[in-house]
Parts: sequence; structure tokens; C-alpha cells
Amino acid sequence: MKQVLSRRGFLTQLGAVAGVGVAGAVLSACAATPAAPQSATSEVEAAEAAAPAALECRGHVTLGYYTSTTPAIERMKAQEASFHEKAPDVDLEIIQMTSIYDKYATMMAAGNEPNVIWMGTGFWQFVGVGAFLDLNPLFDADMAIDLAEYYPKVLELFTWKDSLFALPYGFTSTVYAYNEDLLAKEGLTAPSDTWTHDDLIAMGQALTKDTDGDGRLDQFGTGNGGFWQCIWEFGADAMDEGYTKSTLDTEEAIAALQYMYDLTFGAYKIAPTPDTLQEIGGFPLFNTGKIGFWQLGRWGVPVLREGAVDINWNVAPAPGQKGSWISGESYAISARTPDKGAAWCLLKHLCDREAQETFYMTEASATPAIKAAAESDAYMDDGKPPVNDKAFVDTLDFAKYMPTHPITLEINNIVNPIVDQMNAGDITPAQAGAMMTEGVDTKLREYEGIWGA
Amino acid sequence: MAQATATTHRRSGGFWGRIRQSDLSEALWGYFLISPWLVGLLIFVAGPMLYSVYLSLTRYNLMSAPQWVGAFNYGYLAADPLVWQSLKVTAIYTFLGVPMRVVLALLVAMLLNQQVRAMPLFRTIFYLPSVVSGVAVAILWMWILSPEYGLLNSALAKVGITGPRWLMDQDTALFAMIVMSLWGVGANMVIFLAALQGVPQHLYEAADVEGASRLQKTWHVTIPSISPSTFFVLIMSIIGSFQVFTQGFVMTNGGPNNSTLFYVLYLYRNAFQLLRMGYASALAWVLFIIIMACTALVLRSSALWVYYEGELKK
Repeated sequence: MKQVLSRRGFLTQLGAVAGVGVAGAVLSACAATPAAPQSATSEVEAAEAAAPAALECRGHVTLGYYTSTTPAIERMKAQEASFHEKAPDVDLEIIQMTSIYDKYATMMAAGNEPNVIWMGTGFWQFVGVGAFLDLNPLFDADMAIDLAEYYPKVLELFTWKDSLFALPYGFTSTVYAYNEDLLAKEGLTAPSDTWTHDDLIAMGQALTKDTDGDGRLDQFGTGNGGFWQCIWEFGADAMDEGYTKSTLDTEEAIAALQYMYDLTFGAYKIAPTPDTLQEIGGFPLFNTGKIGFWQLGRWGVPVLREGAVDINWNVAPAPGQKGSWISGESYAISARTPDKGAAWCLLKHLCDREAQETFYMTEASATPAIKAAAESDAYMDDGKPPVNDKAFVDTLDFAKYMPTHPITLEINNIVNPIVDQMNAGDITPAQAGAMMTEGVDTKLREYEGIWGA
Repeated sequence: MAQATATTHRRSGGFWGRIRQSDLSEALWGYFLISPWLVGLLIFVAGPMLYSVYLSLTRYNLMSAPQWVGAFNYGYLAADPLVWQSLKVTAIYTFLGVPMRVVLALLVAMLLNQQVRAMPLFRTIFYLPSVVSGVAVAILWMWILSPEYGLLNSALAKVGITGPRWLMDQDTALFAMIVMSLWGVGANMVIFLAALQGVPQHLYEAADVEGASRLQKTWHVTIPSISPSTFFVLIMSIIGSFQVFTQGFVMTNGGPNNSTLFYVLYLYRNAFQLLRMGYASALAWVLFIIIMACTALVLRSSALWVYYEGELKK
């Protein structure tokens, strides 16, 4: 009589087959591990050795384009058409990206990241792991771009260990937009370029009120610029110049934290709460005349031009003129790019002076990174608000930027929960500063001893 | 007959000693027919899992080859305060939320098991929220839980109650997410509904004969009869709850003050923001072990409270 295969027998055989299969999968997985790429330095050395051929404008290149707005999509199409005319031997493939940093990290894991990629503040997420090509040798080999034309501080935004890893085409510095009509209604004069925090507080207190008598404030003096903006406005910073230790427990830093707390919850109460900002948003408050001052970068100008049509508005540099946020917009070349000539050709097209004047100045979401372009009449006197475009450029004199260090990403993860505790009244600004310092110093030590080794 | 017997005679001794040729043929056909699934499992699940075990013993940032560090990642993990915070948050979310979701799903299923007109419509209404995408649900609930203008606090204000700040307050944010998770009980409700409809009627008739009340019938007949389904729902809910991510990522980014920093959100930060793939792999394997342990505990306990039809319990 035929016997059916027993359960034990079946499981035994299944285990044997699975074992063979797993071994095969392991071998295939090991084989599929991407070969360690040559270091960026050795790849560029190879390019330099055959410099004229390696930088020829031919080959295939993929571009990760940041398309967060409709104007950005239109700009992308225009730049694509223009590049095809300029470099007909380059096969360009554009990948539109809205969530750029997450997508780039995922593509890096798959080994198919774009050859040229847009970069902003997330630059520090990638540069520390060698994701980008050192551009210095390319500038030396091809004299088409003169870095002396660029604002030095803007180049610093994308410089890591004395090498430039991304070429900026624009920067955005934080200024204070103000509602001229609201100020005039309260009999207040517009801020000068040398106004102080005391001026802002006084004006803010005059502007903040409950206009409809329902017991809730619905008109505010100013926005709360947030941790970094407040820290810099008071001349403090997260770390010292050499990035050896945190400086968030200095007198200036604690004064900044106290100010940040007082703006919303403490002595002044002239800024909307995080709840209100989450529900309504800062731009709708400004556009509808419910807030006198609102911090914004150059990227906010198109937003206000479209939204704040019923009010007259202008901008002024940050009060105190000790510090303000600056960030940049750039393009970088992936260290694993095979056709470096094509990538370099595209990078120049996206970031050189012609690109800045042709593509970015009309959109006005970033100030050109080249001095001559930024200080030209075409930019400064374009006939559209704000009248005081010069404020964006003048801010460069005292602007500060996020630490040019890979632990920058972790600083927000340290600082934000502590700010939450401070805003809830659980700890004082001095305690907050001490906790932040301890947290940042710990991460610095870890980076030096572990992750950065 | 003798010849046929001879050709199928068992081979003696060794690993293959008890395998018949006909059995082997049957087994090979079986493997062949399930091979598409098996190959997929090995290539897309088992292989990557084994590779992640390897990665968890390395330092790997996507750009350079993995660098062997042994058990360093596991040691670092044990000393990382945010790991413990995220485990605490996830554990609270699981051990408070899962019982609530299971009980609510059962109660809703019992309601939907009545003979009422338009019942299919009611069943659809209760099931619909569970098919809405997680991100859409998260954004919708952000508006509902908004402290000043949200639906919930507005409704509470109408009866004179000042609602808390929900997601904006570290003391209430996690609880708000647990309450929000009750929205998606539809999937479990459907399972319970099927189980309720499978309870043999003769058991209820026997209980009626014994004079059992409605509550007694529910406790002594219904709940034991559907215990296999309860067992399944409980295990799947625990597994899913430990892997919660979307709510923390979309609604609060782990705040305020890390009060909604779920374990998988912290893992995601290490993997895709800090590019510490080796450490993230170690975090993933620790989560795997925790989930396995919880599942094993429920499995072991099932002998006490799960009743299968026809089984006699001592």
C-alpha cells in the first residue's frame, strides 16, 4: 500500500531545500553587494590625468531636480531645453523629486542615485559619507567658472574640509517682512536697517491684540523665528569655530533662549503659539494682515507676491544685525558618476552666471550667488515687492549658517525636544542651554570617536 | 505486484533511509509547484534578512563598503537613551492600544452581527476607515486634534470642556495617537464578524435550555468559540503595533519632547537621515527579537484560553 509522505519527512525535505536556497541567496546577496567605489579623490585624479577627454561634454547624465513648486517645474523644462541646445552630445535624463533627501538616500542605497543632484540644507546629510565629488580639481582643470565672482560666505555653505562639494546658484537669507499698512495703522514707523530687538518688542506689543473681543489674541506682533534664528540674532551659535565643543550655555545663547520663550509664552507674548502656527500657518497670518512682522528667506518672496496682494509690505534685515539665517541652493555631482564630463557640463549650465540671470532671478526665490548678478539693477530694481531687496544681500555681512559638520542633522534632534520642554515651562532657558550643550558635546565626541572614524 | 513492490521498496539506512521513490516524486512535485513563492521568499525576504544580520555587525553608510565592527552596534544600542525612550513609547502604544483595538473590534462585530435592516451598509461604513491610506488618515486626524480649531476640542467646548492640546502636549500626544488608532478597527472587525457567524447555533440552544442569560451566553459560548480568531487578531495586532511609523512621522516627527518617538521612526532616522545602515540593521533585529518574544508568549498562553472546535480541554 502506498504511504503518504509523513509530516516529519516533508519538513525535513523542506528544511534541506530551504538550506540550499538560503545558501544560494546568501551567495547571491554577497555577490550583489556593490563594489566599494573608488574614493572621490582617486576618481578625480584619474580624470585629471586625462583631463581634456574626461571633461568633454558628452555621455549620459541623470539629474535629480527639486520640483516643489509649479515655477520650479517650468524652470526645469526651460533649463532642459536650453541644455539640449548647448550640449547636444549629452543625453540628459531628469528625475523630478519633491522629497529630495529621503529619495536620494534611498537611491544611494540602490546604487542608482542621480549623477547631478540639487542640494540645500540637507547637504550635510551626505557630504560626510563621501557622497559627492570634490569639485576643486574640476575648477582647476576647467577655468570656465571664476569662484572669485561668488559670495565667499555662500561658497562656505557647501565647503567641507576646505573643498567645495556643491556649486551654489543662489542663497536665501532670513529677513523680517513687515506689513506697512498695519504699522501705519498703529502709528508705527517702518524699521530701519539698524533697528534693535527693543524696537521689535515695542512695535510687537503695540500690534498684538484681541481685535474681535472673544478673549483670544488674533493679531500678533511678530513670528517666533525659531531656535536657530533666535540664537544667531543674539550673536550666539551651536558650536565654536573649530567645532570642538558646544556653545549653547554661553550668556548670549541663554539670552537668546530666554528671548525665544518670552516672545511667545513669557514676558512679551507677541508671537503666535506653535498651535496657532500649525493650524493657520505664518504666511496666511501675514497675507491676511494678522501679523506685523514675519521672518522669511528669499524663497518666501514669490509666496508673498502671490498671497499678500491686499497689503503693502517690505523687508528689513534682522534686528540687532548680529546674526541671521543663511542657506544656499546648489547642485552637486555624485562621487559615483561615470560620465564626469557630462555631469560637469550640466553643473555649469545649472549654476553659472548665465543660469543665475536667465533662470533664477525671474523666479526670485533665491538671491543669485554671484555678486554681479545679485547687485545688478535687474535684481535690485525689478519693480516688484519688496522694495528693499538690498536687505537680502546686506544680511550676508552678519549671516550665520548651520554648522558645516555632519552632526548638524543630530543637533535638531537634540534641541527640539529641549525647546519643547522649555516652552512647556518644565525647564528654564538656562537649564535648556545646559542640556543642549551636554547633548551636542556628546554627539561631537561620538562622531569623532565612532561615526566619523 | 512483487516487481512493483520491489521498485518502490524503501531504501535502508541513512538520511534517505525512510524515503520512498514515490514519496520523493510527490515531494519534488510539491516543491516545483510552490517554487515561484519559495524563490520569491528566499530572494526577497530570507536573503535580505540574512544580509541585514551581516550589516548589523558592520558600520555601513551606503558610500563605502561595510566595515566589520562585531557587536559594537548592539552595545551602542543598549546605551542609547533614545532607544529606551522609543521602546517605552512603542510599548505603551502597544500594550494600551492593542487591547483597546481588539475589544472595540469585537464589540463592533457583535453589533454588526444583528439582524437589522441595511446591515451591509453599516458594515461598509465601519470598514471604510481601515482602507484609507495611512498618510491621509494622519493628516485628517491632525486637523481633528488641532488644539484651537480642531473638531474634537470644538465639540468639547460646546459642552463646556476645555480640551487638552493633544498632539502639541507631551503628556497627551501618545494617548491621542492611541485613540486615533481605534479608527482602523474595521479589518479586525471583519475577522470577528466571520467568527461570530461561525459559532454553532446548537451551543446557544443548549445554553438557552440551561437558562443562561445573554451575558452568560456571550461569556461562556461566544467568546470561547471565537477564541481562535481572537488569538489571530491579537498576534497580528501586536506585530503591527510594534511597527507603527506613519503617525509619528507625519503628525509629530517624534515630538513633543520625544513623547511620540516610535521605535521604527527612530530606526528610520538612523537609516535614512544619518545613513547609519549598520546601526539601523541592529535596531531592526532587536525589534524582531522583541516581537518574536511577545508572539511566543501569546502562543504559549493560547493553551489556556484558545478553544478549537472538537478539542477537549483537561
